[in-house]
Amino acid sequence: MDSIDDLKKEYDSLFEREKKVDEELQHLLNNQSINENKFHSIKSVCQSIQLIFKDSQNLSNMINFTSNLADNVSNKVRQLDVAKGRVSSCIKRVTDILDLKACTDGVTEALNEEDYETAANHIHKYLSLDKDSLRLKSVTTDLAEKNFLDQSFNLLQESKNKLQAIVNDKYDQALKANDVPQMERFFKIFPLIGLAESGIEKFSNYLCAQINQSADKNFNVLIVTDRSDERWSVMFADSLILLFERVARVIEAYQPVIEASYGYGKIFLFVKNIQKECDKQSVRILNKFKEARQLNNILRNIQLMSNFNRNPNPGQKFEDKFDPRDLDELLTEITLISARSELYKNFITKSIMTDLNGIQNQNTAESLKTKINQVNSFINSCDLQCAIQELIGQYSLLENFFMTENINKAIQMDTITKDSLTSSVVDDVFFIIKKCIKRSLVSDNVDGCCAMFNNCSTVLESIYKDHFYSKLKLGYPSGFDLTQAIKSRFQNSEQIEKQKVYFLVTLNNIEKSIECVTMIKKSFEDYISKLFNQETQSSKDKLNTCLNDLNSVGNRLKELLEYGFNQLNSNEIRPRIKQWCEQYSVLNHKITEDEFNQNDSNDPFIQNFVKNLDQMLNSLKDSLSEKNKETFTSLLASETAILLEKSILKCSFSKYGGVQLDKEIRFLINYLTSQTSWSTREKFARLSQISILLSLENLNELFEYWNSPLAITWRLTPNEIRQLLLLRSDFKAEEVRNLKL
Amino acid sequence: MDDYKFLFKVVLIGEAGVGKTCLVRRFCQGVFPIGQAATIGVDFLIKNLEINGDKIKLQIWDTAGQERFRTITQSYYRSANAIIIVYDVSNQPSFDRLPEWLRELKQHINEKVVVILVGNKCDLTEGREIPYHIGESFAQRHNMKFIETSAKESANVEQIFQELSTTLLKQANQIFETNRKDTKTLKNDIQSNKIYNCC
Ligand SMILES: Nc1nc2c(ncn2[C@@H]2O[C@H](COP(=O)(O)OP(=O)(O)OP(=O)(O)O)[C@@H](O)[C@H]2O)c(=O)[nH]1
Ligand SMILES: [Mg+2]
Repeated sequence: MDSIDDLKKEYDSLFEREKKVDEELQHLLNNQSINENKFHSIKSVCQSIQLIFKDSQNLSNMINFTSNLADNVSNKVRQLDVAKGRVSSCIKRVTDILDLKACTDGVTEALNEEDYETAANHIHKYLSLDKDSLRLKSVTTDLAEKNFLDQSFNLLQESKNKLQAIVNDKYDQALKANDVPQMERFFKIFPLIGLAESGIEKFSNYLCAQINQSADKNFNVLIVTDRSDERWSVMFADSLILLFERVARVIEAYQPVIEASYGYGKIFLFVKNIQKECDKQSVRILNKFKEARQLNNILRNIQLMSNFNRNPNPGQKFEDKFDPRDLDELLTEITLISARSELYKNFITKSIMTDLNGIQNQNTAESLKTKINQVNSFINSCDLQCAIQELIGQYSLLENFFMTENINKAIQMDTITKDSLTSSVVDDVFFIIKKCIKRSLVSDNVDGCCAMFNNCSTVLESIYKDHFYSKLKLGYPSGFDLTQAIKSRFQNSEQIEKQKVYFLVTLNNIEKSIECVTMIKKSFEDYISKLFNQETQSSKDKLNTCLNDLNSVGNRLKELLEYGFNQLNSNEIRPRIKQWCEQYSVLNHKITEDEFNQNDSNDPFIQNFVKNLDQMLNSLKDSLSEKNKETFTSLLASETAILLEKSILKCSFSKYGGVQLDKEIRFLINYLTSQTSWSTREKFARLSQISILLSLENLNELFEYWNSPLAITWRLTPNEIRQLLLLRSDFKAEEVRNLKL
Repeated sequence: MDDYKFLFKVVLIGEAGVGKTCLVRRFCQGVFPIGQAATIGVDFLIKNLEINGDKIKLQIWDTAGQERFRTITQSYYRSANAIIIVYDVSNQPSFDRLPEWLRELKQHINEKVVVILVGNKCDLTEGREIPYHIGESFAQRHNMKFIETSAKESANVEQIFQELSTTLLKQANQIFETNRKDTKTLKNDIQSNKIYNCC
């Protein structure tokens, strides 16, 4: 320390330091209370933590304890369960053994007392016991029990055999004595003692014999039935229904019994057995039917006749060409026979199906389906159904013959009555068709009906359509037709008039036939959906497909109608209109305004033209049906438009000639519009446009119609327009050619 | 409604047991039915096909071969577009009856009907009684297509229907086209093009 200054400096720095230390001290002192507080709180937390630690230790101990306890309990429960299982199987075993004992005791006692129901119930219980498991367990247990079981089983087996023998024997005795209550009594016992199948077999044999007996009686009555009997014509159908009712009653009576004592699923076997007898009896009736009604004979004759019709052989003759009317009764009887067996078929199908559906816990839906298929295939191919199907085939031949012959007759006797637009053939033929279809529907046999629809379509498309075609082919005789053949055929005017009437009537006939076909189709569609509501979808499709073929018949007839109108057109309409139009091209159309004004009071063409058209329309109007009238008028309008256009092209026009044409076309359109309900304007669109072209003031005026906002839809091509404009003698060819269109 | 351009009717005929039903079931349902029962009456199945982009619907009528059920069959001939005659290559009588079938057909069908001869059960090599060339030459002599099939092993079954559908389609398309042309020329006539010269 050298100087004051130094000391001062030192002092100052010390002072500074002291001040700092003071500040720090102060700061620390200030914080002291806070820190002390913190310290206190930490201390108390520490105490709490210790408490929690102790608590959680307690808890953990408690949980451990509880868990041990739970383990113990569940172990005990498990043991209890096992024990309980053992107890219940023990109880079952005891019950089984008791049952067995009861059975053993009971069966002997019941057998001694001839109480076969009780005995059978014991045997049934014995049969339902789980013998193997009873025995299996006895291996581990004492010998006494094993001995008891063996003894019981042996005894019961013996008793079962004994009972089976007794029941069989008693049943046979009852059968011999014709003691039905006893038979029914033992019939119910069979399923209890393991003889279900043979029980059904035995009992249905008895029922078959019963059916056989009553069928024999009926058959003997049937074969001596006299022609004078009022049911003679349907006696075979009657006889069959008697049989079917008998069989159905048997099934109906025993189905509940079987289901109650045999359980569900046995009716198929039962019906199968009964059906054997039904097949035998019904085939016998059907054979007798064929013999008595000489079916094969008739079929042979029909075969010969239709062969003869296909390729006639003059040497061959049918002396006793029989009357198709004789077939009427036979056909009706066949359809009745078919309908009744169809009814019966539905009945047995339903019986079997309700029984099958009663089976609880079906293995799978698949196995039920196979079963159902088996049932259906059995029912459809049993002797009865095969015989019916064969008969239906023969029926469809006969019905077709009946229909064809009657339609041929209707065609031969076709007559035109006054005040009728059609001839007798349409009503007659469709009466027959309806009758035949209706009858086939009575048979209720899908294939029979389908064949009938097919045959109807064939007949309509062949002989019926050909009949009309042959009439139309001759044409419509008119003074204008130069065809030599037609001329020579109708020389006198009376014949010509007659042919005219025939032709127009034929057009009406065809038009009405088209309507009839549509109507028949529609009415039978509804009918089919109601009638065959039990049938499968595929059968319905089949029926509708065959019925739908009538549509194609309708189309063929429409084509024929078109052909007829073409004939009428070329024979009558076109030549006449052509002649009237030719008058137009002869006239002068390069007229002046004066001449045009004069034409007003002295019409040169159109009034006469329309008068001619009107005459032609009126001459045919009353002879045509409503629809044909429309067709005819429309044809007339189209031809007029075409032919008039042709004539116009042959002429040369002045402006006033064009204006005149415009007036004439309007007049014509007005007339034709008044004659029909549809618009004639469409048919005359071209002509109207031609008249616009020919009445133009000058060529520039064309562009008011062409490419302008008012432009019309042109039906004429630019080429045609140019050509038409060239008809105006006052337009320069050069300018017309250069028109930019 | 299903849409299709053409509908064709196909009728199967032939002796009992030659395998008509099996062929149809194989074609329509892709199965070979075990223990197929004899057909009684006429069975009806539908199959839709597409050939060269044209949708067609086949109506297949499977008839009964047993003599006693045949009368019903006759009514189906007229409207048929195609007939399949089936015989069994392992059964001589089924082949020997073919001329009779043809005679019956002739009474009922017109020339346009496509007829195809099918020798079925060609899987039975051991029991074969009609060699391929015999069947083929018979078919040729009577202007029929010929094919051997096995419904059991699904051999050539599709081909029968493919073959006849193609032929029918060709026929139908031709008629379809000419009809369209006809209406066109008719229209042209009405527009009387002929009376206008070309400028
Ligand atoms: N090996 C063999 N057997 C066949 C074949 N097709 C059919 N069958 C068998 O021939 C038998 C008759 O077959 P179906 O299809 O019922 O004969 P189908 O011609 O319809 O007989 P019908 O209905 O009575 O006219 C059946 O047992 C079939 O299993 C085949 O391709 N090969
Ligand atoms: Mg078959």
